[in-house]
Amino acid sequence: MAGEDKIDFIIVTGTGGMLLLAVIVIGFIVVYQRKMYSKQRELDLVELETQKKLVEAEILVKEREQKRVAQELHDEIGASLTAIRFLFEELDDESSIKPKLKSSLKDITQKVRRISNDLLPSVLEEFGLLEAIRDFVNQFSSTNNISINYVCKDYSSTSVKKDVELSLYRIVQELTNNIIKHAEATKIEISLKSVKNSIIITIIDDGNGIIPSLANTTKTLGLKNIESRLQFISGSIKREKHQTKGTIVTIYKPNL
Amino acid sequence: MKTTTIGISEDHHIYRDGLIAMLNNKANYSVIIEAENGKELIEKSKLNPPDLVILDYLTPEMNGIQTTRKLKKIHPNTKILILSMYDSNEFIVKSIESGANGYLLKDDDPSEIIMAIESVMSIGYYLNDRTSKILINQLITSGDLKPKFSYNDIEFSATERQIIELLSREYSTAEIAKALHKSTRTIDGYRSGIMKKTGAKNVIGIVMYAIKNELITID
Repeated sequence: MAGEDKIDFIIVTGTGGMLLLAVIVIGFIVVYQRKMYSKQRELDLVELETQKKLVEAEILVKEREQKRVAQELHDEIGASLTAIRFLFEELDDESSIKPKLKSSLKDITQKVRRISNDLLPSVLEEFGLLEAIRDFVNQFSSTNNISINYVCKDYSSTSVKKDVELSLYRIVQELTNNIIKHAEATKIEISLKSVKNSIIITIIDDGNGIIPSLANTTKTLGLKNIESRLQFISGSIKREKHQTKGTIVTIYKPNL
Repeated sequence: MKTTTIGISEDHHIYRDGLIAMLNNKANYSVIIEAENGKELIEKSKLNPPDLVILDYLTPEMNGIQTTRKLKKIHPNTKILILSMYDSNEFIVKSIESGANGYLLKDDDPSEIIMAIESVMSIGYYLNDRTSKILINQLITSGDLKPKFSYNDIEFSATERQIIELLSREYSTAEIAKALHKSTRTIDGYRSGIMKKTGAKNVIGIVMYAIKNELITID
């Protein structure tokens, strides 16, 4: 009897010991994996943060450079070109080249103005986003022969950083251009409003309703541009089909 | 002929010199103030304000709109012509709203500057095709053009209505006086009365009010 008891005891403690060991090993593995996981997450976050900073730096450097070139063009080249026009007035020869020269001078001045404005929208710089979109809408609708309705409500530039306004402006430009290129739309409506601490822009079109995917690996330069701009201003975008026809895009910029 | 005194604010010397040479070449113009920017121009106009100033929109220290607002406050009789490299509607609309009497592009023909000065001095404003189109378009599409006119039904007398009509047909004060058999001083009195009623800052404001409230029609 005593011998059987002893065997039972050995079996029980042995099994217990084995179980304990197993629990310890499993516990160790779990703890280890958790640690590894959180470390990986930390690394991911750091990488994401670095990436975001890189995107920001890239956009900032690009904008600063564009601004410099635009101002040089506008102030230096533009002013010199217009000053030449007075010299023409003093030319008293009536050669037939004079009007031709005059008109090509005007042409160059206009081109300089256009290039400078593409690099740095002067209306945005002087007045702000509300006016800049209005100006864009005016020009865009007349050159592309499409009707664009622009509605703005309770928007004031005073509390919004120029960087943020410029990014939102570029996004609106890009999206509107995309609509013209791909959506076969006849009408566009753009609205801009401030709600509490955020800006909401919606763009509605009556086109074919195809939504180009931002997550697609083969995205176009324009879409990539929108994505990095959004990252830069910590904003978001939502694209949906609009009722029966077209799409509605909502751009949201919180925490002004 | 009475000499029109002119002040110029422009930071680009070549352009400024060209402009001054052209103006001084005319017998009845005299450039009495030259400034690098709006601030300097206002400083120099303190004692002897010119009849008309030509402002480059973009000058250091103060832009054209800021200078216009300030000048209109200190010297309401000085006429303001803005010369600019910017052709966007917003610049034109905002300049006129702030009280400028005309807006020209720097690449417009220099002879147009002379035309504009003459028009501003005789009828109080100068609008070319481009600026009128932009202003009218702004009225039609947005309908929120400042200066904010009061929308209470304003009553105009028959004479006031006639004057508004003639102003919008680019009649000068002298011409209106002649047409209505009144003195120019009386017409001036009527005009400032109309400005007060409509909240307009200048003749362009009156004309815009008239278009908006359908007192006159555009062909």
